[in-house]
Amino acid sequence: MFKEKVLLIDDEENFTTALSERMEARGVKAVTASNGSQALELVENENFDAIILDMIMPGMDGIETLKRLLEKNPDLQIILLTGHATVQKGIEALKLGAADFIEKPAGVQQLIQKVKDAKAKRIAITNKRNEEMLTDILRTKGW
Amino acid sequence: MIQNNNNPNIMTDEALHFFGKISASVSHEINNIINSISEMSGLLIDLSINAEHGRPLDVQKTKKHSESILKQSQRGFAILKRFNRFAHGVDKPLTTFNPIVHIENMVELCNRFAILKNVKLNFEPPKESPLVNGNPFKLQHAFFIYLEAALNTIDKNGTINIVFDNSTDCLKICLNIEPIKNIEETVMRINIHEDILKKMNCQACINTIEESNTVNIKLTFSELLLESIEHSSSLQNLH
Repeated sequence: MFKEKVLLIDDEENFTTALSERMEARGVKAVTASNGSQALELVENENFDAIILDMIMPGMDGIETLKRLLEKNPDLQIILLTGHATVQKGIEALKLGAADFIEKPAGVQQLIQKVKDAKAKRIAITNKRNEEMLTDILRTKGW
Repeated sequence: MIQNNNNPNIMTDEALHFFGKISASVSHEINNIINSISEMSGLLIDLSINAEHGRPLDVQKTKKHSESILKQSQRGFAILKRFNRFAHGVDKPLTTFNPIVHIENMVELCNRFAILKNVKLNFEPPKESPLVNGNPFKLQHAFFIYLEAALNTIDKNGTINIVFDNSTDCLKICLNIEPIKNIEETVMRINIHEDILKKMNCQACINTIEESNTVNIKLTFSELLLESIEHSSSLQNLH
């Protein structure tokens, strides 16, 4: 039984294949996509605790994919993976709504920890929203 | 190297910028390769540990990942070889070299830029290969300026054909770019570099075909960059 579910988006398919297998051996269900379009289709039909997204990809790049994923679902926890982590790029990604930013090469344990953190954040957001909705119902319905 | 007027041993900003762009692209690609190798090696270690604990070793999977590691290593060696040849282009300001080898090397190094834009680069080497005296780094820099302008203005899924014109004694490289999003922008992006290209003794003839959204650029390198041309029958790699 998997505790977390992650979507890995990277055009380096050797990397995502090996990483997904290693993550699954450690209790994290991993689905892979080799480009932004494929990822957009996957999030239509499946829920993920976190998405690990490569910044530089052919066609739709990481930043464009990030924007379009968040347009579909603003609560998605997206962790940007990049080969050249600069402060500027990190700030740009976070401003656009990325949950986190990590530099390649990242070890499997480090990535799993990021996925767990993202899941905790996602649960906190959902709980807060449910709490607000409940408060609103109690206030407006006056039960 | 591209020389500064005050100090001939200092590279100009434009040349450094070009060198930096190529170096950054290569280092990014090498990082991706090492990242993949690292993850695949980690997976092989995981499989070995499982086998030590009595779980049967999946030989096919082990073989598949070992082969992938080998392929990634070979990809890395090929990139490093190309980068090494490029870096040695600054060794001597004047040398005898085969320009076709250096342009082909540049096309290979720029292929990542093209892939990121879903653009195909077609390189067609000439039947006869000239040997020239000149500066290989200058040649590569001039070629890159045009190729970059083409990559920045070509439409997705476009093609850039790189061919050589053997009809004269001058070195002439033709870039055929199609389809172009905005022909005027392409010409503007190239004209921005006119002064730099003049210093490199490179002249461009730009021919646009509006009906097919195509731009043809013919680059001619004069004798100050490439001092003399002597045709040889086979490709020679001087580095």
